Amino acid sequence: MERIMRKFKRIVSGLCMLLLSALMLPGCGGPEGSEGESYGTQRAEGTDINPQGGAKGRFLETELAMPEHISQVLGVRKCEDGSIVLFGYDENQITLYRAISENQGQDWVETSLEFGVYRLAAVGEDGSAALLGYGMSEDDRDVFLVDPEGKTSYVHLNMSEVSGYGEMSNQILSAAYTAGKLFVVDLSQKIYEVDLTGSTTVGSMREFTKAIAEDVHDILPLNGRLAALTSNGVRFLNTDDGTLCEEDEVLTQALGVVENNTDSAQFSVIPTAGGSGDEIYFANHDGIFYHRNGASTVEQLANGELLSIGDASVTFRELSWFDDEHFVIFANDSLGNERCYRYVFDAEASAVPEKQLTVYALEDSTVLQQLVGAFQKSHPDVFVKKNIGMTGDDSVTAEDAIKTLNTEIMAGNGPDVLVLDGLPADSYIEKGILADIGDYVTAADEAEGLFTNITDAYRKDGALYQVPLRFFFAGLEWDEEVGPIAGTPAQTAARIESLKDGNGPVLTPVSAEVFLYAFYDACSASFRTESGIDEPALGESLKAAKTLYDLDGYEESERFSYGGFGPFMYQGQNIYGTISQGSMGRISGQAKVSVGTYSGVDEVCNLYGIENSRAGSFGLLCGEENRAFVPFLSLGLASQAKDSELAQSFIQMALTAEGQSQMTVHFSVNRKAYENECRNVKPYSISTSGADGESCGYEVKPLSEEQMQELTAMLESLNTPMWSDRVVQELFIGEGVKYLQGQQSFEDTVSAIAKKVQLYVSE
Amino acid sequence: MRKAVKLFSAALLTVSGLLTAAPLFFLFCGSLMGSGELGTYLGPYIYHTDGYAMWRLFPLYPTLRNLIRLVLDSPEFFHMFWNTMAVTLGILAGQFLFGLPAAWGLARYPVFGRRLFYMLCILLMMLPFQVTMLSAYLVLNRLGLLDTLWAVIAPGAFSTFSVFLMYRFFCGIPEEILESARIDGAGEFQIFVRIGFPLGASGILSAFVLQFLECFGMIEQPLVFIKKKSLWPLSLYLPEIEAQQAGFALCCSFVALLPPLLVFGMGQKYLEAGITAGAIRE
Amino acid sequence: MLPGLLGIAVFYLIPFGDVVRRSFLQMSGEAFCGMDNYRTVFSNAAFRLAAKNTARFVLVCLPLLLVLSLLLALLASRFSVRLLTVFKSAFLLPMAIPAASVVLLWRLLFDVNGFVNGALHGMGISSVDWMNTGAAFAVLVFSYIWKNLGYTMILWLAGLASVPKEVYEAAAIDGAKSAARFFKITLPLIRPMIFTIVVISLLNSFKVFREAYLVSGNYPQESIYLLQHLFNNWFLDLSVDKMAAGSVVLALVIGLFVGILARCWEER
Repeated sequence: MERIMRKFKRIVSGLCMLLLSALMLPGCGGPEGSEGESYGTQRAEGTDINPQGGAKGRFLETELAMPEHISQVLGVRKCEDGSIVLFGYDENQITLYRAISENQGQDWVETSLEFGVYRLAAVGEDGSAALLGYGMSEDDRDVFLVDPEGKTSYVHLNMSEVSGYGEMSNQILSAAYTAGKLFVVDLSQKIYEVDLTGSTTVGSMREFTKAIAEDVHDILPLNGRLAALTSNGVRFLNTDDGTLCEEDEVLTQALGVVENNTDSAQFSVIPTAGGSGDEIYFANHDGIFYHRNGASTVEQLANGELLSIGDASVTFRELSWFDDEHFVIFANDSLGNERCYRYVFDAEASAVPEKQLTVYALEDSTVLQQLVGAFQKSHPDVFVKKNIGMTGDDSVTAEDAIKTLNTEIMAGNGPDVLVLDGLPADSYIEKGILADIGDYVTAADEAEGLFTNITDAYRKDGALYQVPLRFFFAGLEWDEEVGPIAGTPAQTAARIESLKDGNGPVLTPVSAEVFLYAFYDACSASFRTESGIDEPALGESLKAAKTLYDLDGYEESERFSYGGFGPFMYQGQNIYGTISQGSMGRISGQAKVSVGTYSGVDEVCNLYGIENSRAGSFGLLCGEENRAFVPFLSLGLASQAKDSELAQSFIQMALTAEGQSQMTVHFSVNRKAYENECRNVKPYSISTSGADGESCGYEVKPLSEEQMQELTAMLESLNTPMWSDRVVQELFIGEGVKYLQGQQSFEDTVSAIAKKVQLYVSE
Repeated sequence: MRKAVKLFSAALLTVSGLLTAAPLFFLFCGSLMGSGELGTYLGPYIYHTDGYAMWRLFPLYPTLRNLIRLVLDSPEFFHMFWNTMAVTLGILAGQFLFGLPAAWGLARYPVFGRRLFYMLCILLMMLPFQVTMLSAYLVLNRLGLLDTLWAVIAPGAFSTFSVFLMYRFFCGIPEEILESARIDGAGEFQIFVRIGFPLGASGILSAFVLQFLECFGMIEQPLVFIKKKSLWPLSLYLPEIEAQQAGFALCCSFVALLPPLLVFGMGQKYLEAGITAGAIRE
Repeated sequence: MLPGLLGIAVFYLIPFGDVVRRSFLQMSGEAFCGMDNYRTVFSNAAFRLAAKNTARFVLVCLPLLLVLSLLLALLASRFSVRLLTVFKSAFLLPMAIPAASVVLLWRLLFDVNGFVNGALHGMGISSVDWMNTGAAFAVLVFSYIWKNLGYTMILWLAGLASVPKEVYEAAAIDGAKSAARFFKITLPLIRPMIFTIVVISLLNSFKVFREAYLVSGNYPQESIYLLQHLFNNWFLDLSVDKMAAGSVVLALVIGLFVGILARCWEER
């Protein structure tokens, strides 16, 4: 019996072994087998750059001027004869131009064309082009054809109606013009070929291919084929018959997939053909790459980290290949400006810049990228290595990241410049990790003027160890009818509560977290004490947040959960939970008061726009004694920086208007940069549907002098930084959410926060 | 009466045994559930709605989707799995080469200060990792091992815990056996290979099984010593339980648990021999 | 054996020596500061709390685990080999579950809306916020017992089995009662083994921190705020000086404890 048991056991474990090895097999093929994988790894890790390496040769970037008249590009392409053909509008979006460059984008010849409203221009290999409008209605479906000589003609598109998109009957999503054929993708997300032959002025649309069943989002001409971005990745089609080309797995993987299945997905990676027919080049934020059809590798020609295209907010229009040492990239930067970069291989330049500067941040942000980009541009001999603690694609927590950082600092392997957001800055200062940067701040103030109430907030005995580059703060916006709201948290809450009259909701339905972040930003300075936390003040803030949260009786699921609201969760430009989003509800009568963040000049322009549509005014949240602000992107200089001169110049530049010229979120501490931002707001309009279904909206305009003065006075009045401590903030939000949502009593919440903070402080 | 006691103890053992092993079963079932089904059961946990997370014994709609996703769409999972294997094998090999002779030597020869050394070993294995983390980092930095798998393998290969276990084991081998071997003219090395090794085999294996488990649970060391994510072991791959991911997370946990379980199944009988090598057989 | 000892010295002794050195130095700069760090540590409220909790945890867990596992071992040893193997496997399973998976389970089990509360609710008992009240301590104790019961039981079993049958028989002839037999004969005979069991259990009790940390973070409920939490937080704040002094104190206490044990129980 026992023998049988043992045998049985052996068989079972044998089976398990088999199962396990079967499981592992596809995986073990992974790393070695498909090179797409190795490409993926490369992307995830970033490229290791070793400044000591003596290798020579690197692509150097120069920015070229765009054609003089063009400020918005409709389409651009390098033609077979080596010229670049570009279509675009002037700054008033009225006159349409065609610009041609024979010398790789350095000089342009521009000709104006007839008037028309177009959205995109699909340029063919021979320089002929088709310009298309939105195609939303019958009178918007004329295709404007321009041949290489500039002769023009029209063809009308016969688009079928697509239901399920509201008033819109159809729309052109993408178009490609190649070998005399015009392909379009419409809302049905299929590819159509437009018949341009014959003398008719009506282009009949014929479904081009049955080979792709899934949704198509975007198409591009590539090497005599058509690259289609589908919801399952990129597919290649023969342009003659619409059959699928043999799949090149490496390329498919490199060109990426549609991340969120939205209608407006576009190629984020721009491929282009070059040399012999089977060579492909492509560009993305990681750099410029080369791939030969069927080859198992992708070769990196230029490292995006060293180039302007490394900024993740850049969107690509076109990559032009001339030969293996000359490229031109057309792109759109974070501010929406058209850019043209030329890349020339310099065999004499060292393969990587001689000097290296390491900048550490717990989390990456667009603003940081923009700063690094600006510094890189003015210091081409320096490679700025961004060292990001939490990249978000793994389970590393802030504590893990800080632990690693501390170890590195103690071992002398630390970064040169630290972004102190979320780091234990006070301990670093106390332990002598940071160097005094007070002089640079003073110098920057003398040169261009700073908001010294912000930059010098941490100055002690003349020394300054951290300086924020941007800042924001929590505020309120209210309807003219209800009058000003101010005072302590209790007063504010009581005042807002008194507005509840059974006549519709008072507040915008934001989630518990949004309320808590706002109150933390505004009130944390008031409950901070020398030895811990002021419990009554803490309780008052929590109670106020609870009052506002409960006021309109929304369910948690009905509320907007503004992801990325707080400064530490904050990523990129997609700011949610800003005050103007809440205030929009005021126009349509869905709210009387909104609570949120003033996230920058654009935000304030929106508020003025809203108040123009429906009278109201705005102010700080609980801004009586402490007019609190939240420092953002606080820089510190490591006292053990390897090249401390370089690190100093980085911080100096970060404080200048030049260093901040690309930044768009939050307010600049630099007055010149702030004023530039105020004046350069591009006008736009926003519309939303109100409670009764009617659409309403408002206009966003640059600030008037008067408005600017008002805002400047408000910024200058800020006097206290928020309690910038990750641990305390996390406790406040974490425990607070339980209280607001009714899972924990008020007393328990206050004591849980107070006890833990006390413990934290006593360590 | 005796029978009743026996029955009672059988029942007690069965119930507590089942309770102890239940979580494993839970992981197994969870990995076979779709996100829809899991979402219903775990809803209160994930969304903090009212009510409590529930469970049913077997999935209502079993699906292999999680497993397939893991096998086909998660190359990083396997990449990390192989890193773990490399680390584990490296550590075990290292212990075989270095730890084993060290334990033997400590146990059998009157080396100067061996008592002190032994006590220090016990002490060092008890200290929390973060205490010596910085200093260990400095040592590894000096040796140029940071950012390689060796940064984890090297300290692991000299694990004091294994030395302690093997030492206890070797201590249990009666001196008389060795003496008689010496009289027979066996060299010291021969004694180690011919006598110490076979007699201590189950102890060595049990130390290795425990070490294997340790390797699969390593979290702090790789996190601090290895920056390159491509070198991270599986223990750092822990997807959060999100609404869409619950089943997948459970599945990852379950698959990650299989190798230790397997080794465990094979090594259990050595574990049982554990610390006894003829301890009181004299 | 030399390379092995050398390796241990390089990777463990040297770092530990470094820690001892640091405990006498100021954090910033390398200035010698005598016993200052120790004084700071002893007057630190957080250290006292953490030390108290750690001591409490060890004092509750260690005897509990030892007694429970011994009882189980005694119960189980009455059964046939086959049944025994099944029992042992069941109890050993938790040991094979990696920390990451344990954490996943714990979150599901002990959440306010988790399984345990669900079960309690089913039995008509009001739910407990396990991780945010004093119950957290119980959860921690439970998780330690759960994870280590099997292995400790096996160690006991091995110990019991190593006592030669003849000894029992002789005792039985002398008419000794089973309880007396156990305390007078079995336990003294396996004394060195008890030493090993205690040391291993103590070691494992320090490992519980990993789960506690992964489940409830840096600042858990007060009652499970252990020394490791404190050391961890000190390191996050770069208070390496305090951490070094604190860990030397911990090392001394452990050393004393193990030393006494070794003197009493371990055979030379």
